[in-house]
Amino acid sequence: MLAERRTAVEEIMSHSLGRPVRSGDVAWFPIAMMLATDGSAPAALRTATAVHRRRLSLGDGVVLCCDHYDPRSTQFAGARHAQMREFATLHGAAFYEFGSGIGHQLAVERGHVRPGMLTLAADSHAPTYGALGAVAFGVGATDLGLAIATGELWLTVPGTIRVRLRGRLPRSTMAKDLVLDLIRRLGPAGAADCALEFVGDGVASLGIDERLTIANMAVESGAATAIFPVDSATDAYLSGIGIHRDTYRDFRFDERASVCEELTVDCSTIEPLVSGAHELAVITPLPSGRQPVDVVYIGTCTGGRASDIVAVVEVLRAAGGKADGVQLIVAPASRSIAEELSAAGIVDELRRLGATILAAGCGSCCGTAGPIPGDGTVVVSTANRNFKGRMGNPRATIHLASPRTCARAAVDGWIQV
Amino acid sequence: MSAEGVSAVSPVHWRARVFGDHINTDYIIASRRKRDAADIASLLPYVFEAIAPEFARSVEASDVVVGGVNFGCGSAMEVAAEVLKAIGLRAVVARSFSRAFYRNAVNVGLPLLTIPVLEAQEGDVLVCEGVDSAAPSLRNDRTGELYQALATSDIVRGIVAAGGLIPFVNSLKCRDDERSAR
Repeated sequence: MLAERRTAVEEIMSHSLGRPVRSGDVAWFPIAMMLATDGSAPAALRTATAVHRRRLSLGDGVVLCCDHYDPRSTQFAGARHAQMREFATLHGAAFYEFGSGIGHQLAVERGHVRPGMLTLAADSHAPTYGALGAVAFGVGATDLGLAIATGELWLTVPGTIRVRLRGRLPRSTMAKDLVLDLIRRLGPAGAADCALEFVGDGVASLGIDERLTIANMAVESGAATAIFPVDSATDAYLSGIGIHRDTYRDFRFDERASVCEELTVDCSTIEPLVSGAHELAVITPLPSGRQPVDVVYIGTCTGGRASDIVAVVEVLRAAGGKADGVQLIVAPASRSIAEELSAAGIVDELRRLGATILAAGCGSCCGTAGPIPGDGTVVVSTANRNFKGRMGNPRATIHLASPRTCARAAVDGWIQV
Repeated sequence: MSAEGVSAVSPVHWRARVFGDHINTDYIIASRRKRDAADIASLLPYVFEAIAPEFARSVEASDVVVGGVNFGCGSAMEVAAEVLKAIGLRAVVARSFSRAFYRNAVNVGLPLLTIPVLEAQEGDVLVCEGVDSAAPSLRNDRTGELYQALATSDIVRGIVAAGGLIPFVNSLKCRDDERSAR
């Protein structure tokens, strides 16, 4: 009898469960890694304590990160962080204090995610971990609390949309433009309940930072998760953070497995894109009208990595600086990234260019830990969401673009929309 | 509460409060509001503030939110489901729900009905039969159209019938304990 041909998600979930499952199947799955942020941890830990079904000696399977709330800007943050630290100490979870970085970045750079793992985060951008060939679902706090307490969660195996990447991105574009293009094609719910599985010769041309950006923002098409193959780039990244090849298993994507839909992306035709205000339903190439810009925000789990910030600095350096009246805010996605940039002189250069540099974390992305834009302010940002009020003020306008496009807007003082 | 799978209550009459497609959780309650909130009650005045600032004050006893496709998209914040329940809504009815919002609503005991072809206007009276059953029906009193909500999975019905995820899991634990004691 022929072995079932499985998609990446079916393969990984089957392996986790110990028996074959296919899209649509529902089962209680063992979870290898579960992450909560200070946004979701209080409720998750309350649930975990209420359910209490196993001895909580958790090793590095449970990860608690202080990234959404800044103790300098809200009095409730300190109490949340103390509660998380206490739980971690008592039960052996990994704990990252405020300023360490964004949870999703820490999960990846500190080795909590390995290829072939089934993981959860109580944050919708969990699928970021798919860049390393893991399956990750974003869930709510109660679901995560149950997973912490029992090591399992009931899940439905999603269908798959296979996205075939061909060729490489032109020099003027970045991974952010690729994922904006994908969202433009799919729409905000086009990938609903499906995993986006990236295959094709184009994958090899994308570095890990680029795959992280794409997997992260793929959720804005309604995708349940996103996943990339494991290749030499993955191995090199993991080896660089001390994760040896023999600590994770080899698995293959079977491109003959049946999927809901197949898309092909010709990377060489991707152009710089920008979203309209308040929603991702409108995504256009740049040449059009000019919109004056007040704030350029570089950061978040989508666009706050070293390669993103270096791309920004290169544009500013070549242009001799930013326009007067544009506020440039830079929030590195982790302290490690900030240290790497500091060692390369990039942080000093950013300061000389007049940038405000935030502590590593979610910053202004959802209006909780950074500067909040004023009424009538136009922001262009490397983030993944621009809903009205997203950065803390419904009377500000947010456009999303790649780090390079954002840097260009900082130089010009306007963006073409 | 009725026994699992069987509705013991007569039809319920709801008033439709209509929203569009792709209503995201940031619109339901802004992340910024959560930052300084001590409890759910303090968030209620801000429900839908960015798109319908008058809504929070206007919720009445039989109201349900009616959404289009992809209701609850965006952030997986559970508080979005919690505030809709706490503000007194009887249910959310939509053409489709985002996966994370759906799970969160089930977990906090906010009833959801998925009706892909639903047509409703603001203020319509919607008559629901079998709200606790496997596949409730909904009639729009104004148009006369009768709709069947999509069936929910056994696990989802089990969680809803138990009153939420924690009671459901604890009831499973009791069954496991009973089995191993025998």
